[in-house]
Amino acid sequence: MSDKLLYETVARVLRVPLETIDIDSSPETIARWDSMAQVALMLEVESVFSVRLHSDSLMALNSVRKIRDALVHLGALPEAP
Amino acid sequence: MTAYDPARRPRVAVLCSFNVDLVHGPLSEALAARGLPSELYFSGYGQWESDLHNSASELYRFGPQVVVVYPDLRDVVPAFGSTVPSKHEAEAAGAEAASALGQGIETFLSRAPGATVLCTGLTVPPVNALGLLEGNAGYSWRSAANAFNAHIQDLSEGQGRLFFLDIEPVIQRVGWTAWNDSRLWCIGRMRLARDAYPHLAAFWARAIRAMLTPRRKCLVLDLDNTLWGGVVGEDGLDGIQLGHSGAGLAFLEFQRAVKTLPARGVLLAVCSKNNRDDALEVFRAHPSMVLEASDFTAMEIGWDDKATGLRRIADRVGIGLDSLVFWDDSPVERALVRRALPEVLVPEVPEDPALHAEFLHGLEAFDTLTLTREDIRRSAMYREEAQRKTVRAAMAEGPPEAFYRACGIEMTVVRADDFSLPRLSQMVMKTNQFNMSTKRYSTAEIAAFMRAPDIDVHALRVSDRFGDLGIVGMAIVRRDTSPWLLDTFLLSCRALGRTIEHGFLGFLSRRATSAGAGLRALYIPTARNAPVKRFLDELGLEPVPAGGETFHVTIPSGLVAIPSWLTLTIEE
Repeated sequence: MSDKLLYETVARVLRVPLETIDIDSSPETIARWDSMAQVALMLEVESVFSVRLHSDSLMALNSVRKIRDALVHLGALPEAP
Repeated sequence: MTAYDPARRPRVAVLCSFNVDLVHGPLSEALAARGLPSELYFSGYGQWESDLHNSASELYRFGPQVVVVYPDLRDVVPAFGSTVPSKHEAEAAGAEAASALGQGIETFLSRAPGATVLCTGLTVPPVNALGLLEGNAGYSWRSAANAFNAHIQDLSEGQGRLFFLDIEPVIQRVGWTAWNDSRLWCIGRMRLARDAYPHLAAFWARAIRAMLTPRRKCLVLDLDNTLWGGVVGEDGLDGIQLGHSGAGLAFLEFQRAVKTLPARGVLLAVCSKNNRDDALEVFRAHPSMVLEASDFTAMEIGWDDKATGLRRIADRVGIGLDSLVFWDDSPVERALVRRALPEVLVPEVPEDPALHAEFLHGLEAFDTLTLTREDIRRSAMYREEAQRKTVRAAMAEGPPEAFYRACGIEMTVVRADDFSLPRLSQMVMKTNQFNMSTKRYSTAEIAAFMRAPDIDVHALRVSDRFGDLGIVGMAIVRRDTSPWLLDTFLLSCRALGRTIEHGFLGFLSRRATSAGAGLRALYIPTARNAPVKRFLDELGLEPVPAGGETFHVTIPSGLVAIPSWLTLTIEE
C-alpha cells in the first residue's frame, strides 16, 4: 500500500489525469469532486485499502491529505511517504 | 410490448424511493454489455412518485421506453422502523402503499403509450423491530411486502406494459450486509452498499434486455459427458454415469433442469458425435434417463462436424442460427462452433457437472417476461408435426384422401372475439403465402370490423388426432354488398396441404348461398401469394380485373364442397 495507490484511486474515481492529483487536492481544486463523487471515492478507498470508515469520516475526509491521514491512522498506509 | 429499434438508443428512466444515483455507471455498462447502450434518466430524490403523476415532469419530457421503479419498504411504509403493527395492520399498510404507487404507474402508462414499467418488488430488511416475533403471535412485517408485491403482480396481469421484478433472490445471493449500507442513508439518503450496485445493474439490464430483444428459442445439447457421464460408445449402457448418487446424480439433476425448458417455450435438440443406435438405446433403455427422445424437436447424431449438425437443426426447426444455444462439455467443440457459427451462443460450461443445473437456470439467453399460449405449445406443435410427417410418409403410396382421413381433421369456425384478436392481428400482419388480398389491417381496425353490424370476422381453429393447431385461418366477409364480399381470406402455412382451405371456403360459400346473397372474393396477386393462385386454378375459378391490382373472383354456389374427411363445427 502506497501514496501512489491512493492518488491512482482518487484519479480513477474522479476521472481526472493522475498528474493533477497531489496531497492538497480537494473539492476546491478539482471541479468533479462534488458530494456524490465524495461518497463514491470513500467507498472505493474502503475497498482498495480494506478499511471501514466511520460515517462521520465519509463526508469529512474531503482532501487527499485528510484521506491519507485517516489511512495512516488505520494502519493502511505507512506514516512516512 | 415495445420493440427494440436498433437505430435508436433505448431511453431508460429510473425512479427510486431513495438516492440510487451511484448505479448510473454500472447500469450503463451492464446495458452496453448486453448490446443495449442506453440513455439514462434518474428522478430527483423524493420526486420518484410525483414524476409519474406530473405530465410536465422531467420524466415525461425524457420520453422513456422503459421505466424502472424501485421502492424500498422503509420509504413507502414509513411506519416501518418506528412501530410494531399486527400482521393485519402490516398487510394493510403494504396494500395501501402498492395502491398509491399503482395509481401513479397506471396514470403514467395511460399518458405514455410507448413506455413499459418494470416495478421492482419490496423486501423486508432482515434486522428489524420484530426480531423473533416475525411470523409469530400475529406479527409479520413480511406480510406487508407480500401484500405490496401481490398488488403490483395483479396490476401487471391486467396491464401488458407493467412487469414485476422480484429482487429478493438477488439480495439473497449478495447477502444483506453486502447489500445495505446504513452509513450512506445518514449522509446521503442512499441505501445500497458499494457491492450492491453491479448486481442491481445486472438484474435490471437483464430484465430490460428480455423486454426489448427476442430471446433464444432452442437449446442444442451434446450427449456424452453432457446428459450422462462417460462415453456410451466405449463404456456401454451400464457403464455411463447417470443415477442417484455422485457424478451420476449431477447429470440427473442437469437433465431435470433441461426438462423444464419446453414448458418455458424453449425447444430442445441434440447434436452429438455418436453411433445413432448407441445413443438412442440410452434414451430407450437406461432406467435413470429423465429426458425422453420425444422431448427433442430435432436430433443430429452421427459423425459430421457439429457446425453442420447445428445448421441442419436450424433448418429443420425453421429458426435462425441466432436462436440457438449450443451446450457441449468439450472446449474444443465449443471453440470450433464459435469460430464457424458466431451467431450461435456457446456458453462456457463449468467443468464440474454438479454446477450444470444451476448454470443452465442462470443463462440469460432464454429470459422472457411473458409466455404466450403459443410459446408454451411450441415444443408440442413441432412434435405433432413430425408425427404427421411420419404418418404421411408411411401412407405415401396410397391416395392423399386416406392420409386426410387418418388425421381426423376437425375445423371449428368461431366468431372473432377479444381472446382471438391478438392472434388474428398477428396473422393479418404476417401471413404472406395463403393470403388472398394481403390487406394489412391494424388491431384497432379488426376490432372495429368485429363490432360492425354488416361485417363478419370468422376465426378458424383446427385440430387433428395429433394435436391442436390453434387458430390458423381468418375470413372477413362484408355483407353490405351483393353478392357478399370476401375481403380477407387467409390460412397460416402450418395448416396448408390438407384441404382445409377447401373446407373453410366451402363453409363461407354455403353460408352466403343460404342467405340468398352469393359470394365474391377479393384477390390481389403479390410476389408471395402463389399458393392462392394455384388454389383458384384448381377450382377452375377465373379472377376478373376490378381496377388497379385488384381482381374479383365469383364463387359459384355449390362449387366448393366441404371435403367429407373434414369435420366442421360452427360455434358462432
